[in-house]
Amino acid sequence: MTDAWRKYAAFFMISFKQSWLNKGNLSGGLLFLIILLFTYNRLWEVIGLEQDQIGLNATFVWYLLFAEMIILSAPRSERILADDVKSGTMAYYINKPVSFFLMRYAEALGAMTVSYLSMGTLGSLAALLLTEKPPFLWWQYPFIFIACGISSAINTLLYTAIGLSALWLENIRTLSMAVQRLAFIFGGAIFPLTIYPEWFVDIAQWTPFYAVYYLTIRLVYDFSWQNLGEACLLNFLWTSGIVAFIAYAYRKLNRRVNVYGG
Amino acid sequence: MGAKFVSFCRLFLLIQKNHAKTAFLSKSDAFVNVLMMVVNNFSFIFMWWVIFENKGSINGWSFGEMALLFAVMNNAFAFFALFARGSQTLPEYIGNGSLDNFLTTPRNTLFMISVSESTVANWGDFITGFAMFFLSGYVSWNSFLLMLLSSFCAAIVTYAFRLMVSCLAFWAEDTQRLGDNIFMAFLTFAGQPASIFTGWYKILFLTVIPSGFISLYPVEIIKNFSWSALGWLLLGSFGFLFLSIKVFKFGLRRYTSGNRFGIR
Repeated sequence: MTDAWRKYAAFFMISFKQSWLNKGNLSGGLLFLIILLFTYNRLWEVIGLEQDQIGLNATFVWYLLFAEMIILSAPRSERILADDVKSGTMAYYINKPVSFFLMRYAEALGAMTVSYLSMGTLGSLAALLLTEKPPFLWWQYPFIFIACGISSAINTLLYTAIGLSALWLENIRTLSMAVQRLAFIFGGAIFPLTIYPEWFVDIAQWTPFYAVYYLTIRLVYDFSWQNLGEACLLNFLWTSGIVAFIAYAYRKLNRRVNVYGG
Repeated sequence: MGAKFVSFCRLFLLIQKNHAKTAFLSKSDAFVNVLMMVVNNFSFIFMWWVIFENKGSINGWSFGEMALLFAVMNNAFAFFALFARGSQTLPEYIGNGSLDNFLTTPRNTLFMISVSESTVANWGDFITGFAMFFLSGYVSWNSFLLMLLSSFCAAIVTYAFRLMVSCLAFWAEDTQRLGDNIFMAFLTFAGQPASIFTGWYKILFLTVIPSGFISLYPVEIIKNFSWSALGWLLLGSFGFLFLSIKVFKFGLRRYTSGNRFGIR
């Protein structure tokens, strides 16, 4: 590992340890996930009973688990970054021998990893208790887990990028909420896109949420090597787009800090 | 007593005026935020519309009932977020010692904390709430007044629950995110068709996580008004409010100053 990457690995580890020690945050996220699974399990149980489809809840609960693992494990990095931009704190970091953005992203990844692993472990146990049998074969589980982990890292990158939009917006909290909600519908993060009308799926396919969320989470009930490959390819393409936006916004940001002095 | 109430109302209006002035310093930003909130709400509603289009009804609830639920829930949250969001920031105040500033004012401490924060974006919730009421198919003068009353009661429950969760900070450290997550779980519970919660689920729905006072009773009252349902709603909302104030006062006794110097 080169020296440059060792620095970011250190940021990652510090954040990982801090998040692990912050039991309040961790238990809050886990509690929310369990209640969410419990609530939607009840919803699909009732729908399943009404439509004589016993076991319908299993597909939807496991689908929801992986979707929420991607979404909930992302720390609020956009708020941290926006605060840095607004308060001028970034001027303090910008002259250090590390990239400010990569530093914040490495920290966000550290926090995300702790949440993702703990939610994955406890959430899987909870889903197993609620539904007894998952909709996939157990040998597929590690592949789904890793693919969703990568999606979670891309999702974290997306939110860190939203933090940079504090350059143009006074308050980014509502923007991040709106993006999260769009992710819920275009990414099928609560209900799979199969239940939406065709015209809507056609629109969703052109958004990053379709690749980052839906294509990956779909592996839960429709696992195949072809689907896995498609998810990886499209995720790679959208990640390139997000990175291009970050590079543009970061350059602008640096210029502004130079002008105003942070 | 009357004069004191009028004085509180005046102070409340003055604080709200200042919040509005601050929020509209950048008009375009404020409007973008309100618009984003509306987009955010309608995208969530769209998901449920799709579900009801596919499934018809869920245990007796159709999209009309769901629209009433969204009307009450959005209005209740708007009331809370615009006029009493300070209760959500309480853990931060306790953590950094700025609660001292509130304790030293001659006004009621809880009142001052509650009105200390307001989020302009939540005007978008009012827009959504009223739009959903008119789309629900239950539109009449009676139901409109009942919707306003139910929304107010639901706002009280929302506030009371948030305050109780925030009070955790009196006993433990770093509870801001924990509180936020419990509050989100409460809202998630409230945002489901109440008809799916039967038996033990219903008891849980009305006690430990009192979301039923936001979804179950308000929708029932607007649909088929009954004095008993209204009585339960009033009893539940004011009961939880009373309980939350007790918890706050109990917690406040444990609070030791952060020795922060400042005037508010």
